Amino acid sequence: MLRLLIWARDFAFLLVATMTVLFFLVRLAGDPAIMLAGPDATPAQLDAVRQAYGFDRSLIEQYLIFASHMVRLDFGTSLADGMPALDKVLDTYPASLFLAVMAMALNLAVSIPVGAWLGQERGGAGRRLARGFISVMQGFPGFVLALLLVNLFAVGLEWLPSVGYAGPASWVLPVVSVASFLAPKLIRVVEANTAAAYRSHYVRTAVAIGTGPRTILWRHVMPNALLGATAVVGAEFAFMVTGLVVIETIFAWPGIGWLLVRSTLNLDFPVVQAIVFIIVIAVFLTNLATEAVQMRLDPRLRGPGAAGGANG
Amino acid sequence: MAERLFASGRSWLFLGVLGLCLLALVAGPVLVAHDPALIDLSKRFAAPFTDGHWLGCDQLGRDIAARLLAGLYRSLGTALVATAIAFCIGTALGLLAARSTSLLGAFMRQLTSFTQSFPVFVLAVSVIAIVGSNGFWAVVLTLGLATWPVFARVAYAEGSSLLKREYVLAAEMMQMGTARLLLRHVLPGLIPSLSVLVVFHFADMIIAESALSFLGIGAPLGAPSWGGMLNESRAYMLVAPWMLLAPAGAIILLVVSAHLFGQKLRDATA
Amino acid sequence: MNGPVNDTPILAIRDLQIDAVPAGGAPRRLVDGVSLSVAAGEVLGIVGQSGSGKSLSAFAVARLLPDGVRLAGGSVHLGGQRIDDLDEGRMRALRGGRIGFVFQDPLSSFNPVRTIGSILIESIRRHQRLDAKSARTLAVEMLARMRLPGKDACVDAYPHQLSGGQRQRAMIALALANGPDLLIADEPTTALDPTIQLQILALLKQQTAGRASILITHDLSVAAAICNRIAVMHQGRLVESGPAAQVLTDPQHDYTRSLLRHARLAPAATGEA
Repeated sequence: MLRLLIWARDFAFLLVATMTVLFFLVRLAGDPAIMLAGPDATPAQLDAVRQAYGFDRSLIEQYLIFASHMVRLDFGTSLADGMPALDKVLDTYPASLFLAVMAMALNLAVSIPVGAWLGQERGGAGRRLARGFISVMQGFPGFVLALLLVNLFAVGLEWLPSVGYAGPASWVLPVVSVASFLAPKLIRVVEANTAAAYRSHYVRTAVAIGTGPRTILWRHVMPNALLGATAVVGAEFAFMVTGLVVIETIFAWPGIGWLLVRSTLNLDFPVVQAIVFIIVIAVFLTNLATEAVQMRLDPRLRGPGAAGGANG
Repeated sequence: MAERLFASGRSWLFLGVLGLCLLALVAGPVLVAHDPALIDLSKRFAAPFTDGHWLGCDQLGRDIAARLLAGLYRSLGTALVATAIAFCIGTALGLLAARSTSLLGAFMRQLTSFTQSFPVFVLAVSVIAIVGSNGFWAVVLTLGLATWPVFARVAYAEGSSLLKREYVLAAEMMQMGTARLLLRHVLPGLIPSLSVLVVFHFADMIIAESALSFLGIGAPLGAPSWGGMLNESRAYMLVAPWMLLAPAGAIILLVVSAHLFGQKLRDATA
Repeated sequence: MNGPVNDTPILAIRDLQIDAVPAGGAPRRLVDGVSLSVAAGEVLGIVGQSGSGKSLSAFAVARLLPDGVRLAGGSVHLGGQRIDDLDEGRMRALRGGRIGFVFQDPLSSFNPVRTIGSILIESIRRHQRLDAKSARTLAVEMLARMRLPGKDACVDAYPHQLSGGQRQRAMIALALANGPDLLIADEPTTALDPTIQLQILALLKQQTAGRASILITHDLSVAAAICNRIAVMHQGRLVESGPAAQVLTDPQHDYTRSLLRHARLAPAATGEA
């Protein structure tokens, strides 16, 4: 109960602080009236636009109006096309989440077995080669890799479409690009955790009761190795829900990152504010979910249980 | 530590690449005798090694090597200054939070999570609009202001544990001022882990700068930047792949070698 | 101790050699020429400082050696059968089956994300052909016999939910689950509070009856409490061994004497052994 209250307090603080900073930043950033009325507008036309949208009031006044609307989840309408700002964001977010979930699935599917394999032993030419490759990949800039993949598979070999969001073939390059900059980090963590588990006393106990190598890997080592990796998985997911701005731009992926670029460059305040509002909530929910998963997986976080006493 | 650091080829790779960059900065103008902004439509999409264009020309006939060099100034400058800003703000705030009461510590935590969920991109565009047309300082400020929590987190965590050590407690009892205590007794102990962070952050800032200029933010239109070159190359991948490969190769070489050096440095200081 | 001591030893170690083989380095001898035997009903105490090779020598019996350490020579017989050259599969059948282990730190020796019972059941089903339900019943029975509290004797408890003494009781239950001929306990009381130490020693003493046991300890007073023979190891070699009373009252080797000077022996302990 207390935890829940602390969460709620942190969340409220985070949301208010972010939205306040954002409000003043975008208001200071430029004059949207020029955007709306066009570069050739007369001063009279500009004034009319300012009045219509309330830009003529003082900043504090505008902030209070904005805040009172935000409480009712009303972010106004897009300055670009008059659509409700929040609707625009909610329409594009599924595409971003889809990309995030697919990339995370691929990331897990690759990182867990590879990390477990690497963590089992130090030596061997294959392992050394893989470690070197992963070291290089760890520093590899994701969007440069995406461009190179597009060049090779879409432009050069013409195997896959280079842009778009239509069908599995068009998903491959974006998902692979995102997963390949998530994977090296996760592989490293799984590897380190696996190796640590193999050196642990509880694995020695498993050996001492005659357990075979496969059961040791899956029932003794991996549960602990993956438990330690959940924090990294959560952080990687939180990073993705803030919008994969560059990747979505490269692949013309109609997600929140792509919308963010367009709205920011067009000074479309209502949409930018709605995007950030949703992102803050998404990051918060991701962190919450990560903690919930950790609680579920780690009996030590669940507090003292019913079984047995604490003395004796 | 230095011995372990340079026992492997990786560290030399980074220093070699860094040296190459410095050499390019100094001797570049001699080696690349072209104007990065000079448009020569007769040389559109000239292939590498033609007419003294080592890396070929782009869609406007501009020399790619010259643009790469001009972009290098921008990338290195941005990354170095942004890293310095983030380092100074982050370390100072982190140490202060470690030194002071729990209230500031809690505030620090909040501020850190706040910057985590704030899209850097929005911040960048706003700062650029506010600071004005000088894209360089706008980008540097944005990156520095958006990424300092990386340093704050480490300075806070390690500073807190150092402050509990006996020699620090002894200095504290001698009524040393907070600033002197932190600078003379705590900061030196943080140097190993902070220097590792600096190397990684430098690499991240190179990537961030090129990502922003790729999106058309920061660098004025047409100004040579690695991200801008990458963006322009997308339309001509089929006819002039060197337009993509040259800046991509430059970014990868610099970032990956910095990363490998950072990994080595981390292993050596661990 | 009590009970008749059988003449044919359960465990016989002859001329044991153990090497550390660092990657790319020359092998270094850790244990050299150790010979020991333990008969049924006998408790052998191996005493020495950390690094004396006492734990390695005992763990080598079931080839339970850390990475980079290997058996370099000598032989091990269990119940008259040579076991040091067994293949890994047969050795696995011995571990937890005919040879049971008790480790020093029961907290780190139990998997933190598995219940005590699940480890116990894994061991029982590995060595006895039992279905899940009867294995669980046996696990509860073993835990209850080690006096773990509750209706289910903490079978569903996670290690962090038990106290240090309870965890070590569970560890002893694990070691004895399949009725081993040989019980090897490595510093079983070192990680525990003094009062709990005595309880665990009493429990061990009670459970050693009828089987061969090895107690590894740095503490002569612990050895004096429950061992009938004592072997003293120093720098990888056996420096002295014999009946406990003899080693404790009339030590032949300088090193044993220095150990004795530093141990606090209750007079009764030496007398009884």
